[in-house]
Amino acid sequence: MRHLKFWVRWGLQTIGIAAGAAAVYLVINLFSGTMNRGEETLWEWMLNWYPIYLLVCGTLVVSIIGISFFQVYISLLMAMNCTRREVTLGGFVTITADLLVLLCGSALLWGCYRDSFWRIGGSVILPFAAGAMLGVTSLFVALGVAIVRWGKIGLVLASIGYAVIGGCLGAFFALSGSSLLSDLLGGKGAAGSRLAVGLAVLAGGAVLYGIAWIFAFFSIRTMQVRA
Amino acid sequence: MSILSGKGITKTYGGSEVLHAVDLELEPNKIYGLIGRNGAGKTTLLSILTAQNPATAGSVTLNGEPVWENPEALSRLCFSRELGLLGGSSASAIKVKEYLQVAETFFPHWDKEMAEHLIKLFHLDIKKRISKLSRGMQSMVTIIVALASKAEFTFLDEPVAGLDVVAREKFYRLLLAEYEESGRTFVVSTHIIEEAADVFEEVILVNEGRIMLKENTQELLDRCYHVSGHADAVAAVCEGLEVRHEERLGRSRGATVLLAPGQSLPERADVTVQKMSLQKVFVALCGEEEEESV
Repeated sequence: MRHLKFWVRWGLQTIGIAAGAAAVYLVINLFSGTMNRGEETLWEWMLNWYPIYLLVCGTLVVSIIGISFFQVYISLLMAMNCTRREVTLGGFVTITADLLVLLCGSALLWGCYRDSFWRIGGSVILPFAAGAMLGVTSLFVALGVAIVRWGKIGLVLASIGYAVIGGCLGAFFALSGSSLLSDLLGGKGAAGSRLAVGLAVLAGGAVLYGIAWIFAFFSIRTMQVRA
Repeated sequence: MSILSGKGITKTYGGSEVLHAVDLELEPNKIYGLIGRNGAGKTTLLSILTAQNPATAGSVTLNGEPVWENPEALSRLCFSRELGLLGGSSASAIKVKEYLQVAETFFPHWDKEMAEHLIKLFHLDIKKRISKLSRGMQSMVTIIVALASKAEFTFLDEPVAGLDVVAREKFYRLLLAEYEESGRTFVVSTHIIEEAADVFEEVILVNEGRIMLKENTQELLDRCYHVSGHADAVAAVCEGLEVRHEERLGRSRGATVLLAPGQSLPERADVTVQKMSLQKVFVALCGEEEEESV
């Protein structure tokens, strides 16, 4: 029960930071005038955009805190007599729960404002967002695993790998990806095919996430505590 | 009465073996001093005994139960590591307050009052990051965690590193007071042997990945002598005895003798026989086999 307190506190801190970061980003955009509000009231505009920022900022915050879990907390908790099984399970459950809370929170906020959200959201946006969140987080989990296994060399190699992946994704979006994405999320195309794409992204993200945590489990099982 | 026991502990890093089939038994209600040269394997041994790192071979048990991945056994152990070695990584990145908060969560018998008392006693700024603390201050954090954990078996790795003499005295007094009050078992690894010698009930000497001896400190000192004089006279005195270290200066010779139970030194007027301090015994046992003094 005492241990649970730590994991819940850590999870809530992450959600708090994500919510705060999304709010700050929203306020910056509001005052910088880069976003056109059109006919929307301020409240509507915020409700429309905050869930998107919450998803994006939340995924990045969870991912970055996920790295700190590998860099700081694993060694620290094991130095405090936490078993490796508990550390791995605690990290996995907390990070996954954070992602789930952010996804559900965003969906609820968005759904409150956009009636149409629930019609297209269930089929495309939610699975697509969930898949993207899992996919991005899994890359950071893999980075954390690389640090645990190979130290600074792992960090450098993983960073180079991600730069390459980032470059490829950038090229894809520059060529045709952004129009495909806007068609998909904008509700164009047959509902069945959009559902298939959403589920494919979700499945891909879940597989990546699962693989990253399986590697994490095996790495943590044999890692040497130095802290 | 709990007994922490390690059998055949072997540890290999890369291709090199740093611990060679170490057997060690720690009894309750004792203060052990773990001494050895740099790289002897002290920290590695402590981290394996407390299941923080896996052994390549061998096992560690607490009352016959394996310690590895055993929350029940782990709740009775505390290994307070030397934070000064952390550099820019891991726990050094967080604040002292957060570190102590995590310790409070994970050590089931954590004594919050004691931790607060020690923070005041050491004038520790808990808002600072561990990496921003001086080495001495980092040692204070390890001392606070070790003492306030109230763990049955508490291991301290270089707890006095970087502490000034006043703080070191304070630590030894606190350690003895806690030991007398609670009867916990402490294992203290240190390089400042002379000061700590009076505190250790038993001394465990680690050399090149092996336990060279584990013995009651007083009994060890009672059987260690330094014999010096003319080389021939010293050789005659030492005949049949275990000579662990020798130094020569011209025709003079000094020898460190380790008497076996029942043995005694023959009385001769032409040699000087002196009792030795724990530090000198350590140097004699772990130093070079033979040194030619100039």
